[in-house]
Amino acid sequence: MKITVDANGLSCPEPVLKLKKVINGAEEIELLVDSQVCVENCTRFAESKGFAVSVEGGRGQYVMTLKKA
Amino acid sequence: MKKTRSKWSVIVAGIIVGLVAVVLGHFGNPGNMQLCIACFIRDTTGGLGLQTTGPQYIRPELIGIVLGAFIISLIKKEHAPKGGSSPFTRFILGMCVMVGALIFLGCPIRMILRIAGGDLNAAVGLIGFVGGILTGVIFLNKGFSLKRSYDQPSLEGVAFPVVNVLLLILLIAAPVFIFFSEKGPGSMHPAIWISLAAGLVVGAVAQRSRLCFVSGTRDAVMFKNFWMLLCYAAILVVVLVANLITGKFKLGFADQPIAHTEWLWNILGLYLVGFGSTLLGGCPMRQMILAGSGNSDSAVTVLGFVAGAAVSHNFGLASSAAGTTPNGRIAFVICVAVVFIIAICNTKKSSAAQGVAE
Repeated sequence: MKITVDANGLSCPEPVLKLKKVINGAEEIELLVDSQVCVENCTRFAESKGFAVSVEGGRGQYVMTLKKA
Repeated sequence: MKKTRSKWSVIVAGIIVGLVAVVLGHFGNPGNMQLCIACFIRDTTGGLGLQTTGPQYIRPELIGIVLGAFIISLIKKEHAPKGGSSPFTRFILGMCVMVGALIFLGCPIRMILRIAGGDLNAAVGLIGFVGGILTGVIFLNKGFSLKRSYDQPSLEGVAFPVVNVLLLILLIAAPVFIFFSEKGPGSMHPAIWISLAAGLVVGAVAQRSRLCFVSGTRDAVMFKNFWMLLCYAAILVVVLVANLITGKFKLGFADQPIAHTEWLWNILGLYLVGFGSTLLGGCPMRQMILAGSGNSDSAVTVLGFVAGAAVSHNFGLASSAAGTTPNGRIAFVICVAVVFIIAICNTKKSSAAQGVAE
């Protein structure tokens, strides 16, 4: 089941904290963030948890797809 | 799209910032105060006449940092006007952080520069800084949030850089209502263009590397991510080596430049800085960078720093080489209480379901 997490407008480190709460046991997560910094921080965290990350969008609107590798 | 950046980019950023600090010190900035966001905001506040008892000089380094971040964020298409995340609370937090910084006499970057100069008072203060960050982390883990920011009109995102251009014009034009210290730290500075160029470099580098003196410790504790600590180490090593080569390194507590030896208040001052900055999501330097990149919440936070600097000097809260003041110690107690109240009131025990499928 795909989980969607909306972290738009939240400043660091809140998006990563939101992700941390749902990542254990998840297979696929759609994460919405609004800054490149959040993309980088969430990518680093997701990859450390064994997820493959792809990102779409740009300038203020990013959709990250995290899949358990 | 680049999803992460390499460890080396963070280390190189630290080396560049360290070198810039060395250059600024060489060309005239005060001892162990080659670069300090809190001190320079205090100086600028004085230059505008908003405080009349401390150093007075509109510091071009700060203008450069904001404009450097602004330009690079435009080039990299990361400039985005955002705001509306508890702006007044951020203003108050900014004031409290500045009160703490002026009790210690420096922001986190000056803490590192002071340690690199052999000032052991700053090394002691580091304990408080880390303690403050850890206190903030406790609240973050319990669900602390200043809530979401939202898209803002374009003007909101460029207003802060424009104000900084106006400050530069005032500095160069030097009309009679702009103040310039004739002696003391406010009178010690490089030529305007050197400071401005240095600021532009730091602003650009800090924007790209996401340099923040709070996030390193915070992320190491929360996410076992130790990257940013490497950046601090790089700054420390570069400035330490330069100080050893030039004979400026002096190990000890007494007679350090623009510092006092009250160890407890060095710890407590930086505790307030660490705690408040963690709740703000970044150190004073990071707030400047975000403000330059279009974040008006950070611009409001910087105004909070300005207000904090004004009251610190006008009300006799700021320390000096002679030590802390009775007013400063009372202000610390009030500010810590305020920051705790803000932390508690904005902390909601959140469930894993929150924010999911919203």
